[in-house]
Amino acid sequence: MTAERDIALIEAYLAGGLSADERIKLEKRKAEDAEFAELFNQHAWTMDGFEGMQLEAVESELRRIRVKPRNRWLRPLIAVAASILLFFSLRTLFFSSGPSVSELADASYEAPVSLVERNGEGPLPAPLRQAFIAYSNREWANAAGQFEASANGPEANTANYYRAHCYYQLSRFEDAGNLFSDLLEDPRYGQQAQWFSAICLLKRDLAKAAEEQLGEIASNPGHFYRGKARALLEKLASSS
Amino acid sequence: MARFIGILQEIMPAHIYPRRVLLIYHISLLCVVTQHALAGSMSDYQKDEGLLASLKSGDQKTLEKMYSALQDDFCRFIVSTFKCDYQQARDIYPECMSILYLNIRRNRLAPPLRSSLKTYLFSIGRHIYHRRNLDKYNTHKMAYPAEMEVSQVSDMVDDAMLKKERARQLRELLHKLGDPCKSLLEKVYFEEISFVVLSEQQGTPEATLRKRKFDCLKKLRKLISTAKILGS
Repeated sequence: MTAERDIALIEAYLAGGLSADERIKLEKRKAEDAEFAELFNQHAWTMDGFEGMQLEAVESELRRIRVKPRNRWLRPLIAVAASILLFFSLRTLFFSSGPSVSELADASYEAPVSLVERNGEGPLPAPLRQAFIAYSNREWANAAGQFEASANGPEANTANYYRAHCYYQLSRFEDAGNLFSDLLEDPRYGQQAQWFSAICLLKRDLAKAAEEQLGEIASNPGHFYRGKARALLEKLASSS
Repeated sequence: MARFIGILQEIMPAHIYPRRVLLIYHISLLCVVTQHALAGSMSDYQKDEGLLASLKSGDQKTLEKMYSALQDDFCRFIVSTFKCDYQQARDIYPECMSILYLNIRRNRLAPPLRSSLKTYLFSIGRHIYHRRNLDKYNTHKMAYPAEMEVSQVSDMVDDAMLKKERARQLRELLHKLGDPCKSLLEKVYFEEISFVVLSEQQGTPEATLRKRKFDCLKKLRKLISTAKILGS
């Protein structure tokens, strides 16, 4: 039984499970008691042997693992892709000088108010009134159809002017621009039509034609949109 | 984020529009995250200590993952240090990893770490390769980077070599001892199965198993004495 206890004590010592006092006591006994020293050495040797067997077993298990070769091409490729991305981000950030022409056009566009309840010009004809109700409700396609139906009536220019705005909202900039161009000579809508026609040209990426038209507006002292045209021309100049 | 954009709008030139401010914000965020990740990976080997805890608990998946992740770096380190073949480096890799793993399991490598586990592994590799090729290197003092010099590692490697030699001798003695002693001692000391589990598996009381183990150890000690392995 004593030997059994000694074995348990030696195992605890080897596993580092004894307190400092217990360790000193065991080491002292080992130095003084030859029989105990022999037991200690033999058991420590046995434990070492089993640990050696465990080492070999782990090594053998690890040798079975098939490590996939690392794709060494991927890393430089990712680095190149990241560099290109970074280059374009920085270029956009520091060297592009403002919003696009289309964004400038959108910022300058302001849809006119609906004329459902107009003052001083008598009531609207019923079909035109229906068209304005659809316009107020932002039903652009419906409103455009109804304005077109009134395009041959007594208020044809009003109908066409608002139909052009409906086309603008529907991103049909060429149709809108053509309608605005037809209204350039109209005394009531002429100045607005010229301004919106220029904006339609910008939306169609016809910057040069738009700038010419804006230049005409800007040089006309009596034009209602003169100030806006000048501001827009400056923005266009700084963004190009 | 809105506050951040507001500050940037105030300090940036007028032609810098909100989408660019957002771009700056994302780039800054990316920088901060990257910096944080790098700082995290380098601080006090915390990540490695988490790994250490996993390995100590005997988590095989962690061991396999670490083994796969470090093989290439390890082999390239050995190849560049000793100017040897990649295959030679790969041959010693499992041995080095098993030494590292068992020292962790036996709590000889415990927190706080003084180097990363990768550095320990590379250092073990250097010692193992050096010992295996003593004829080539014993007169030539190798120059190693200071960070690769890790204390304890030389002892770890010597210890492992000694234990493997003892394992070879022990196998012979266990063979002489024969079953059922060989089987019982292997279950207790090699597979490290507890007496509670063994008792359930074999339907034998724990006390009986302990007595049998003690008797088997006694027989084994006689064989050790007879074989004069310890020079007694």
